Amino acid sequence: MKWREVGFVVLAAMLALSGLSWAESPAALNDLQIAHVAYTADLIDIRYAHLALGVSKNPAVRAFAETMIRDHTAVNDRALALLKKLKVQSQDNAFSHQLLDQSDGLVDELRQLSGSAFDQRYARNELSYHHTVNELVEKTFIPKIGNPQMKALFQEALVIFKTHEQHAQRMVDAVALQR
Amino acid sequence: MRRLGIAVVTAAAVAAALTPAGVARDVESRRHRVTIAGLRFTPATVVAHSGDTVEWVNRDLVTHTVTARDESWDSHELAENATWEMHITDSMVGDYFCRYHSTMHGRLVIRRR
Repeated sequence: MKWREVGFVVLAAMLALSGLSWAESPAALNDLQIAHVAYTADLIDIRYAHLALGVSKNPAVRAFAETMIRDHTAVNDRALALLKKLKVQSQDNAFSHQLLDQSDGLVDELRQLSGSAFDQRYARNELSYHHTVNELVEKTFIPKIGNPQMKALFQEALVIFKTHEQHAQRMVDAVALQR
Repeated sequence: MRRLGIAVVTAAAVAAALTPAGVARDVESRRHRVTIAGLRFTPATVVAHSGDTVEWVNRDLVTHTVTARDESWDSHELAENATWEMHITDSMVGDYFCRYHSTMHGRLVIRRR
């Protein structure tokens, strides 16, 4: 088994633990499909954040959600600007659809919750979601991306998203105290 | 010629004697630059004297703030490539952070002249 295959097996195990799973292999995507997946993943987190702002009264949760909207919107705007500069368009793909389908399930679950139960579920998901997507970006997407400008953008975005993961851990700790 | 030289030296001495102390400090004040990149303040610690100016420039694509720990001073939103500067005084709180990214911290070590 090659190292890359070992990496996918490890990634698949991590995804299973995080609640995310997919039939389509992310390693099979081209640059434009990867761009679509990343854009979709940003939109999903923005969607979770808007839901959090509509439900939560916890200051830590609300501050985190506002940062997610601000940062993921900025990254997506930059991605769109790069695609325009390169005169290409992102390509819709089955992997993006799997992400959206799975996020629909979580949104349905979150809508049934309120108060502390909502805050804790939102916080835990943000931690696992960022961890999973960061692993995917770092170990699968960045090594595979061929366009140097796109690779640079993903590397810059990864630094931002790793900080989000640390921030999410703090949010998890903060909402645990309100139990 | 010699008389002119004496006049110049005398004028310089008088001017120096009459210069307010504050003006002398302004001459000595320095500018410091902190770059925000990769969600870090670099350098993380700046040693500045009262009367100095510190400038922050945001090279990240996401918006940041430069906010005192006690919120007594605040840049408010700094978009990509925006700069903000602050005049240092003795009584300032030196520890600061970014409101939007709780992992980002910086420090001004403020010394009196």
